This record gives sequence, C-alpha cells and structure tokens, in this order.
Amino acid sequence: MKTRWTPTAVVFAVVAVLLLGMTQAALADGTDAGTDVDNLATVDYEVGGVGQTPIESSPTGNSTPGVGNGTVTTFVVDQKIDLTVATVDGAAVQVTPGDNDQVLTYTVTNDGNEVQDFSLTAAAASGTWGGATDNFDPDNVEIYVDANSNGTYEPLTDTGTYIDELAKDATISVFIVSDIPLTRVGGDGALYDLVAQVAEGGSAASQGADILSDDSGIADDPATVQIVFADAAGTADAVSLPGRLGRPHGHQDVCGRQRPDQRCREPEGDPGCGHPLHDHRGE
Amino acid sequence: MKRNAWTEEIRFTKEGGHAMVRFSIALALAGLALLAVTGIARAAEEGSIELKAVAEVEVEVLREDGGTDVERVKASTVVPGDEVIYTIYYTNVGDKTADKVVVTNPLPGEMVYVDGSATGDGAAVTFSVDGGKTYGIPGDLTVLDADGNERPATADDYTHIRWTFQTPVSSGEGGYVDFRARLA
Repeated sequence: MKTRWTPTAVVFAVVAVLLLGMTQAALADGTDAGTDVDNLATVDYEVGGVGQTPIESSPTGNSTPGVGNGTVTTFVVDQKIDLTVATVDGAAVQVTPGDNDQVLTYTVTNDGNEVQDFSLTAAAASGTWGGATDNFDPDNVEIYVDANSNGTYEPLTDTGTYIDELAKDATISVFIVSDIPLTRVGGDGALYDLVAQVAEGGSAASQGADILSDDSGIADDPATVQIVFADAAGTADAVSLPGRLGRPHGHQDVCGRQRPDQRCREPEGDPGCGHPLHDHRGE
Repeated sequence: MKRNAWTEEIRFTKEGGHAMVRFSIALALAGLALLAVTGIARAAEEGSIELKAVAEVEVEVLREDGGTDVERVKASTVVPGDEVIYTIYYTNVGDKTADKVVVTNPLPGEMVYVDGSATGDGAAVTFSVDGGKTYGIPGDLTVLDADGNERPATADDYTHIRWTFQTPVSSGEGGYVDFRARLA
C-alpha cells in the first residue's frame, strides 16, 4: 500500500530546503476502466462413442449445443484511483533572502486506470530535519504544472495550476514557486508539502471535480464502473519528507543568487551552485 | 387458421364493441401454435451437458466478534491487480452417460492466470500457449522470446486452460472445475 500523503518538503532557508525523494514504483499498465471482461467456457463430449456438438457456458447454465448459444460471464473493470507524489530535489534547496520565484520540484504519477485531473495544494508543513526547524513561510506561494514536460519551471510556459488529463501511468512535474522574505536569516527554514488530489478527467482544459468518495461499499453491479480507492487513504497523496532547514552550527552558507533552475543539492553548496556565499545576516 | 382469424377481426370491427375481444382470442390462438412449434424445436437441440460459468472475488467480511471471514461474492468491483475466481459447473442433464468430457476455457484477454490455481476433480489440467492449438502440462510448454529463442512458458503465457475428464460423467452427475486469474 502506498502512503497517500506525499509531502514535499520545500525548505526555503537562507540555507536550504531539503526534499528527500520518496519514490514509489508505479504499477504496470492497468486495464482501462469500463472494459468488459468476458469469459466463456466450452465442453466437448461423446455419447455412445459419437462426438456431440460442443456446448458453451452461460452465467445461469446452458445446455443448448452450438457456437453462439452460450452467454459470456462478464464484469466491467472499475475505476481505480491511485497516485504517487514524489520530490525531485535530492537535497535542500538553498535560497537567499529576497530571492523571488524559488522552486521546489515534485512529480505526480497517475497509478490508476483512467485519465484523471489532479487538483494541487501547497501545504505549509512543520518539522525538524538536520538539526534545523521549519520557522517561516515564504511569500506568494504558487503551484504550476510543467506544461512542456521538461522538468524545469518556466514562468511564461508553465502557467497551469492543476494537472489536466493525466493519462494512466503518466508522470508530470509540478513546481511550488515562492518568494523568500528579505527578513529571513541564515538557518531559517520552510517546509512545504505538495498535496495532489485526484479529480474527474475526460474533459480537456477544464478542471474536473475532486473525487472524494469510494463506491466499494455500494451495491455491486457488474455492469457499472465503480470508483475504487487503491488504499485506505483515499484520493490525495503526500509523503512526509524531512527538510534540511539549516546547518546545525557555524556560519550559514548561502548559495549565491541561484536561479530557479540552479539549485544547490547540498546545504554546503555543490559545484552546480558555485562557491557558497557567506550570509552575514545569519550571524 | 391465421387467415381466418384476420377475417374475423375485420368483420367484428365493423360490428363494433366485440371486435377487440374476438381479435384477442384470434391472436392468442396463433400464439399457442407458435409456442408449440418452438417447444418441439428446442427439445431436439437439447444437449447432454449443462455448463455454467461464474466469476467471483473474495472479500473480507467482518464478524460480530470482530474477526473477519473471507467470502466469495459475484465479481463486480474489480480493478487492475484484483484476483478473480472462475468456476465452471457441469451437469449431465441427459439420460445417457457422457464420455470423453473436455472443458476448455480461453483466458479472457485482460486476465493473467494465477499459477497453480486450476483444479478439477477427476480431470487432468493442461494449458495452451498458442491460442488453443496445442496443450501441455506447465513443465513441457515453451514460447519464443523476443529474439526468437525458445524459453520455458510461464503462467503469463497461458492462453487457454483445459480439463480432460478421466472417467465418464453419468446422467445426473455433475461437478465443477475452477481457476484464478488476475486482472492486468
């Protein structure tokens, strides 16, 4: 079973936010919801040494020989609701006070068997990781969906705020974008969860209603597509992730004015970020 | 007879209120005649074995003491990954013994056979991996891989299941065979 809540830890700290990825294997392709699954058995036999016309099965019993005289035993495949939310950032995202449009990157995967929409929420979380604690919320927190599937936030391109028509087994990137207040200091941290909620699909460019109920308890009807949650947690998914909020001691290193697509992977800075700058405000 | 009935109907229509009554009688007579013909035809087509196939799933049911029982219910709420139990009931409804009885069940295209699940009292179970052309026991079956090399078949490769009864099925006798398959 999957954990339904996949928090994405977005730590906007003068030094870093860390999202540890918690990935879950997506299921293999599932049979589409609404598919009829038909079964038909046949019996061959002899009477007195003479071969008889085969007889096909039916749900209630058939004894009329011949092809076409049986009736399939059938059920319709129901709609499986399942999803996975995971983080892409391998470590805390380091930010500098005053930076705008800082990005945390997540993925949402449709593990169900039908095209779905997903509504998205950025939930401020709390917690401690790596000796530092979430102690602020960034400004202007927004969520955008990766429109061109390149995994990189592009303000002019990625403008959708919900996931539209995600095919079964498909994965798409989602960005939590926010501004870091100038008043923050080194060691501050902010932790965010991305919550994805399965919604009705089937209508492109239109956000479907959230799917909140499970039909499993409703009287069974083999001919009707029912909604079945893959696990007890329902239709929203989030994973609790620890967030690196800051270095436990010493000066707070700040990754130099990184752009959204140029995040530090480690609080100490890595080659991709250049040499960490010293943030005097953190002292 | 039918012609006379219509003639009567027209005549009575002209006479008024009794027309519909007479017409109904005429139709009823025609209907009886049709039923009689149908009945004779069906008797001639009756086979010796009745075959009934059901599809069920297992569900956990809460007992009053807080425990759970596993019960089988008709397959209706089924999503990918769920296991379905197929049971085929056979009954010799004829008045003579049926010999060389063989029940064959093609696996529905969306279902994958659950290895080792097929049972059938008094029947030898074999499988096909070539759409029902040939049958064999699991250890003897092979398929070609993507490179054209032969490899042992697995349950995923099965296309048909066959139960070959080792003894005749007497008049009035019956039983069942079954197997499990998972929705892909």
